[in-house]
Amino acid sequence: MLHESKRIPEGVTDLDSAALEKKESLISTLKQLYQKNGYRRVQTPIFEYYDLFLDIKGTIAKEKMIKLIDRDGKILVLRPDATIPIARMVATNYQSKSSDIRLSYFTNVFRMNDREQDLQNRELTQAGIELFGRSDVSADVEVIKLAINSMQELGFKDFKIDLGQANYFKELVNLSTITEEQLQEIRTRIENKNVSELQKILDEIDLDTTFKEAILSMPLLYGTPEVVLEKAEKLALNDEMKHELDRLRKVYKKLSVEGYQQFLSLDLGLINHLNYYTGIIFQGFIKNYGKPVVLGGRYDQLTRQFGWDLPATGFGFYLDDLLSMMKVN
Amino acid sequence: MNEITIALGKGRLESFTLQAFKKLGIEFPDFTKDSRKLIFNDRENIYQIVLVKASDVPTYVEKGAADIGIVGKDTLLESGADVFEVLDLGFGQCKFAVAGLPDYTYGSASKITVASKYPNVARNFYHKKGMSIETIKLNGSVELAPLIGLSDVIVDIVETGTTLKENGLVVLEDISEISARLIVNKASFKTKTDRIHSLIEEMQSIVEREMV
Repeated sequence: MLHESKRIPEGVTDLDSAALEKKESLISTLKQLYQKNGYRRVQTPIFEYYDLFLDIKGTIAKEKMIKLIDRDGKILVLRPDATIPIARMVATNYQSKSSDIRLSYFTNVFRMNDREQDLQNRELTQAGIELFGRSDVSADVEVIKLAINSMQELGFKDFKIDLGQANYFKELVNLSTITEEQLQEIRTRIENKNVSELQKILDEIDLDTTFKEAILSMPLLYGTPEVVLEKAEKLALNDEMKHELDRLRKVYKKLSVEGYQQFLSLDLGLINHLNYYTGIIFQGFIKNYGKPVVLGGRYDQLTRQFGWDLPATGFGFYLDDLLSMMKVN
Repeated sequence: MNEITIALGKGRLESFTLQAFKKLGIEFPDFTKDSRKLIFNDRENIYQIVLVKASDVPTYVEKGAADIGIVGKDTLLESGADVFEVLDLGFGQCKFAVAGLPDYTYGSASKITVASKYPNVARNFYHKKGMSIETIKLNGSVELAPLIGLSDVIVDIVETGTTLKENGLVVLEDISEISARLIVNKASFKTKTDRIHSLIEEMQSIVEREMV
């Protein structure tokens, strides 16, 4: 007897009253914060068509989505990501709105854990905001500030928001003659700060040395923002790359002026969480917790895929991680 | 909890790791081979070593149970762990290779069967080539598999090639180079920045000095 009627599947959990109350108090803190800042809550269906997530470049891996079959044979998936459905909803339902759209969500997302070592839940609670309709630097600042404020409201002191710029590397790749296959190899090495293997890969491909030099520097463009920006400026190969850096510099400066400098670090090697990001991206870490608790950034091309071209930026917190971190403290 | 936790894999890289840290002036006086203890502190109580099975090092570091670790690229590749792989320490060099009987060639019709201690490495290698395979996970004596018809080929670590030779097998294809790597948890890298970055730099200068 396997007692499947008594057990629950791996990756999901019951919450007793105490645990749920704790989680809800955390949610209510964030709800108030986002509401105060003009973000209104929305909800999307718990399952949608598989095609929605499949058709979007650089979304969740196919094998990570939990699938169901509809009556008519169409494939459905349990919501694997919060941002894509909200972008769909905005692009299809909000077209009459002329001003900025500020939305927040508190929702569960579902993902397959494919490796034995994935302790990660298959049902994750996410909280976040999305700001549509603004492409200016102050929108990036607003969103990052709100991520920092979220941490502060929840009582975290020792945390870092790591800023990157997805377009800097994208531009670099566009200028060069790197093939899609080579790019994948290069990308993972940059992402893992694996300089020695990156060097070996670059040695074997036929590419102009200025590109090679710039690519090889990518994993090392982290640390003190002023220094990183200066180094990156020298490696920038055209005006677009310089322009993208300039945005990052402006965002960093504005946040510093407002007193958030201590929470910020820079890493231009941060290039690969969800490919739909297009500009300034960020992730947040709390000291002594092994993975990022918040991911965010600009995704200007996402709503275009649903027929409305609308710049956007936002973030999502992993609430379960925050909760287990609060238990430790 | 402000110390840096190092995951130390038992076995091949154990003494190498301890020596590497000794060269940085970090020593663990309580550590002896016979001790049954699994956690050791250094003299200044800045570093802490946790002794784990070598193949578990990537897991400890990925999950943040340890901040850094030294691990063979073989173990790292097989685990698929999401960590920063900041340094190639140059130690323990060998390679992953496909081996089989000397006259073996990939047939065109049927799927090939690959025996390995490293099924993920085998799968990734063949998938990149666009070939579908069946894997058989073995925990040792992998060379036996093609000899008695359990598999067509094997994917294994090749150091000198002696074991292969003695069993009448040859390397059919090289897969990748292997050596010891310094890995760092991504969050530790961002939050314990000063300590970890200087540790990486010091270790890098040792590696460079010894290569000359």
